[in-house]
Amino acid sequence: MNIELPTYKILFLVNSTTADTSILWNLTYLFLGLGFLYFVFILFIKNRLSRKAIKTASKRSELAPIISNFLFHSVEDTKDEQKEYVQLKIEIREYLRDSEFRKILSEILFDLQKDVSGTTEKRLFKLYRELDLHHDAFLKLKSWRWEVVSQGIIELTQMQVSESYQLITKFVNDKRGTIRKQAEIAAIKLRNEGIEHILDSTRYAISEWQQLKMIEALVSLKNYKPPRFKSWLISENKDVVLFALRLIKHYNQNDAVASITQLVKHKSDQIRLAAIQCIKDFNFVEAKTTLRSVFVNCSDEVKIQILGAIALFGDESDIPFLNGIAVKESNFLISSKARSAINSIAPGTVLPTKGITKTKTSGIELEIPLGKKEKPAINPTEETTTISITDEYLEIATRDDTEILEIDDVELVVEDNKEVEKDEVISEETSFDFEEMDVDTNSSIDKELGLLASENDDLMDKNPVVENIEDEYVKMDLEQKDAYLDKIDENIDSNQVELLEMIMEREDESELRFRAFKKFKQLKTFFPVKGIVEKELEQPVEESEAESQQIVEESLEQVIEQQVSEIGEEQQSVFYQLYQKANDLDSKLILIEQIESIGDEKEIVFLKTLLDAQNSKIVKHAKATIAALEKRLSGTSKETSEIKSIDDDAGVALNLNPNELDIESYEKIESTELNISFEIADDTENNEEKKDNKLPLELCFLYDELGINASEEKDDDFDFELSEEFFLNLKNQKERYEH
Amino acid sequence: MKKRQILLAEDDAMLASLLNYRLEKGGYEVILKNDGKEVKTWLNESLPDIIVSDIMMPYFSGIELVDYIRNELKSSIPIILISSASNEENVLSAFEMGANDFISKPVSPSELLVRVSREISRMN
Repeated sequence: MNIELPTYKILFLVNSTTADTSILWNLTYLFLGLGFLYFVFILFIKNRLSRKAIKTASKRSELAPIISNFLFHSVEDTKDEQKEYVQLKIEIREYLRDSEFRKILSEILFDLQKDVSGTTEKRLFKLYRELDLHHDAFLKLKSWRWEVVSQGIIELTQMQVSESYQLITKFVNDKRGTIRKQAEIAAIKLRNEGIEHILDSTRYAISEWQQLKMIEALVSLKNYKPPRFKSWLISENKDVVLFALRLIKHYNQNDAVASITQLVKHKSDQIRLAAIQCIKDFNFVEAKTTLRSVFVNCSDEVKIQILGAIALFGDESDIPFLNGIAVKESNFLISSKARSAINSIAPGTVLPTKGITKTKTSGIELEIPLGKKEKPAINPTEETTTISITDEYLEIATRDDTEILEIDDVELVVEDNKEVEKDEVISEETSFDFEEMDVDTNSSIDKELGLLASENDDLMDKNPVVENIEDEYVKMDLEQKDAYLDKIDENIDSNQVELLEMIMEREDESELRFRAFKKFKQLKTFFPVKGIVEKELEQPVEESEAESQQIVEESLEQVIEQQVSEIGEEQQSVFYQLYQKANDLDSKLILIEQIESIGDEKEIVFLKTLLDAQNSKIVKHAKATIAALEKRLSGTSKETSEIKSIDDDAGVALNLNPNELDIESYEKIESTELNISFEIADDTENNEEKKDNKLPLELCFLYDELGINASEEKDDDFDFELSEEFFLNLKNQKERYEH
Repeated sequence: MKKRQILLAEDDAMLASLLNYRLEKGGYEVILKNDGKEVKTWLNESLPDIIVSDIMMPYFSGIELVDYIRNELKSSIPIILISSASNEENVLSAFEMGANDFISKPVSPSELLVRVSREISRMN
């Protein structure tokens, strides 16, 4: 179904209606006229203000000498000066009838008051009053405009009109904030009792800035004796309490311990913080108990402050409490502060643990952080210790292996805080009486708390069987010891492992020590598989590395022999690994070709696996090689068996480096008329030693399989390179067999 | 006896008038200038016995004035500076430049008079 879109109709609808242009023009004229009027109005106001400013300036300059004359007039002046003074007084009286003049005069005196001090200032205030200018300021106080009232208050305050005190204090509870603040400052400045009036009567909040301004005003007062501000700590106005605390601190009124301590329990965090700050400043040690008791129900910020206070004047008795917080508290800042407090009370109690490299220690480190004194080893028969702690933080500190095991056998008695009210949640404290814990309970608690010292405990706790063996061994003479070590070979158990360790550590005879080490190394290789505890050797062995390396290699061989049986048949072929590592097709084909000339049954198994390969070339080559190899092997079974016997005797595979064949093997090879040229090592004895260390070539990759990294020295001994002559000879041999 | 001449440089007209009155009453001849430019022009023509100058002035600050008198005019006439900004930096700068005394606002005219007379007696 086709829908016709009426596009042309839409365009028609968009067209605007025709407007009356005359209305538009009229509007334009109207706005232009309004703009012009606004501009004229601004010009008029500006001119008026500048005219006023000029007039004021001229009046100021006119009045300046008059004021100066009034200010510096004295009875000691000359007669002419006295006459001039009287004349000026008459003149000014005339001027004062003009309200504008009065206003300007007030402004001049008000401004001048800021720049002068000393007797001139006093004379200025006197002149202000003599000229009745303060009455104008009083009238300003009656204004409905807040800025006029505020100006009046300031004027009266600055000109020190103390009579205005009663009028101004009425504004202390004015609903307009600016007037209120101005009135508060004025009240303080006008009379010494002004602050008391404010603290008594104010119903509104006093901002921190205002508090500081009022303190500044108080400081500027001369001969001011501050009242005891603790009286206002009971005020219902939170800000009055805070201001009182601030004033107490400012005037160092340290006689309000009880009141300030009580404020620590206040529901307002702000007051709590201020009270704690006061406690800290005045070092009210008496408040410590209260601080501890309220801690649980405080906010994080208050908790930190409390911890700061305890850190400041706490003692060793507070450490368990702090430890409890450090362990229990989930907030890092608080737990960190608790640890910091512990260190403040007893420096060095809590040591850094983060980013510290762990070192193997011979035993568990036990430390009871009771200040600088070290607590003797835990003994269940000792008298119990009494520690005051809130139930919330009844915890035993547990930390890393280098840290602290804190409470063992303790009797915990939580003090009943007299100052805490019973109806408050804070006062919830419980008494605990712990009896001495038995060994099992103790160990179970340790486990529960994560005190995993079992490994170390094993080292600490001597096995009685081992002890007996050790005692026996120590009593033996040299020969007996030697025989005993031989016996270990036959019958080995975990006790004897420990004995070997003991011999390595304590035996004076180096030979015996070495033998023990040799045996221990063997055990070390095998026993971890069987689950025997392995312990790192701490003492360095003086014997040469070569000898120990040899021992390790011997052990390795045994392991390899065990593992060979577990490997798949195709993997026993040396070509398996080479083939796996070959990256391209050509390399793989060359390898398969090589198998034909030097491979045996293992290679056939391997080649058969290649028949499943995706690449047809590989499959084809593999097939051909299998056929050739089978043919060769079947045709030369006799010769092969002879070669095998040589291999067995020499302990090396056919494809081993000829350097590693000894004379005997060489002779046998010669007798088979293989005509393989080998370089014969001159040092036959050396070869004899080495032959035990060499592995069959097909097992050489077992190191990788087992994840064993043979030493570089060992690697040097392996040489897979075969001389060209070797292959030529093999070829000749093959041809000969075929004939 | 010829009166000692004081150059008073102060931009606040009221304070300048007050100090002028007090100094004149104290027996000095006061030349009143309202900004640094006026002071500089006048100093090129003649030198007073002592200069009392505000630090914060239009065109030419009190510290610059001290520098000008000491380094350009090579004069050692006593200079007393007045400033409402009684910060350490200003005071030190003024003394480093060679000012003889410093008085901070609010100024006590009587105190200023004493300081002026002390500087003049030192000069003598």
